[in-house]
Amino acid sequence: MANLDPLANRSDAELLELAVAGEESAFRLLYEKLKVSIFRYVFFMTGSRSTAEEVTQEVFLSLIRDGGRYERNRGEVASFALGIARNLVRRIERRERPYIPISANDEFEQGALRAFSAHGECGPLPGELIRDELIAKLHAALASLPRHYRQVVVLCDLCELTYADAATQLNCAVGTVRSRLNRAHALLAQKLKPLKGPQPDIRTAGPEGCAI
Amino acid sequence: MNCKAFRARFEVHPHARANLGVDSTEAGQHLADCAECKDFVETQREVVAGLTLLRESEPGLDSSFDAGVIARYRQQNLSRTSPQSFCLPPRSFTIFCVSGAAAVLAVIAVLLVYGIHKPLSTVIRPQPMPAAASAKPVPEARSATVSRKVALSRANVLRKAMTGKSSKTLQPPSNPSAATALGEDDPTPAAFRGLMYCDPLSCGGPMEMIRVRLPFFPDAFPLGLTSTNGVVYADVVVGSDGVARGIRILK
Repeated sequence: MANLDPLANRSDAELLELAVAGEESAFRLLYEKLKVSIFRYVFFMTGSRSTAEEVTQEVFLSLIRDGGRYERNRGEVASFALGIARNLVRRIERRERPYIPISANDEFEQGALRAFSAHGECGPLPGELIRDELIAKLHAALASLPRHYRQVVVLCDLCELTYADAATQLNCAVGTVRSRLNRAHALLAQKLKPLKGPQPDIRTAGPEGCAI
Repeated sequence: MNCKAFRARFEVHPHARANLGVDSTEAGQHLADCAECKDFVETQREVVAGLTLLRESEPGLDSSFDAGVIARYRQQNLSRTSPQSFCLPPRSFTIFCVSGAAAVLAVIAVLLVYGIHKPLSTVIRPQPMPAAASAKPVPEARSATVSRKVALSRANVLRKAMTGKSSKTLQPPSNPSAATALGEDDPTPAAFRGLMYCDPLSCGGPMEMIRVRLPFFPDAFPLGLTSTNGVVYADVVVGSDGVARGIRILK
């Protein structure tokens, strides 16, 4: 760790220069700074951990390979890296399905079936399973949004970028980001409405009451 | 406050959405009175809660993944500085060599072309005479480019030749086509009277024709030749050695 100390006060742009030149400690520091935000963005945009890991790795290798294209006056290194991630995600989306239907969640269905068969009759579901189900539904709802709405939700709500930073990243006006976010929240609210319906009393309703 | 104004306040920041309904007195009053906006605020809060849960569910990156990324970075570094990159000559050096070779070839070509097409502006190429040259006309010079020079300084060479064999050399040929051949293979051009023994071996090579002005001597020039101002003009062919080969008097 001692060899990182001289680099701790360097800016991201300087670290990138050093990393491009072959300085491994500079690359490690830059990687630690940016990896979470890059991974988070890709994970929530694609809904897949394996895809997020692949893309994150590719983003950093591209950052070193194409580091000469970075211009300090055009923004921070984090924005540059996020831009690379966005392009890679776009390529993946062109190859794969654009939407994941809410009902098509194999993990949830398998988990519910296991719980049902394990309890024999419809007993109380483990809290983790309910939570996992809700998270899966949220992922599906997010994935079902049109791309330009999904992007603002991921950037502003999940990656916690400001409206200005998100607007810079998307190359649009701040007002556009706000209006898209409003619309995205309205769409999400519609998709999440079935989840907040009154839950049947699973101890008395019988097997059919367990269907969620 | 109306519903439109109330909902517009939610656009400031997504994380402040859930609080806007209760932070402002005016907004709070509107909420108490408007069931639709109350439902709207509740929906927005649930969306925010869901997104918060989603964010908390984000998986972390384990150390094995980090090690893999560092390993790829090292591999990429090695591939950029591998010796293979030094095996290929620089592109600029290759271009320089090709350009240099092309320039040398161009120079050689120019020299060859120049050597073949040497200018003949002042050259008369003598044609070798056939065996029975005395009975046959002297072939004319094939060179199409014969320029005439007036060189008064060369007249001195002529005068020496004239004084040596003046009567003979200045005799105009009665038949220009049959004259001037002192040797069987005299390369002196037609219509010129030979001033020295010439054959292709002794008088070979290019010749130069000059025009000279001679003083008029009635006894020395052919009969019938007159001069109004006491001079006559003549063309003299001179070899590359500077020795006059032949002469013709201009009437």
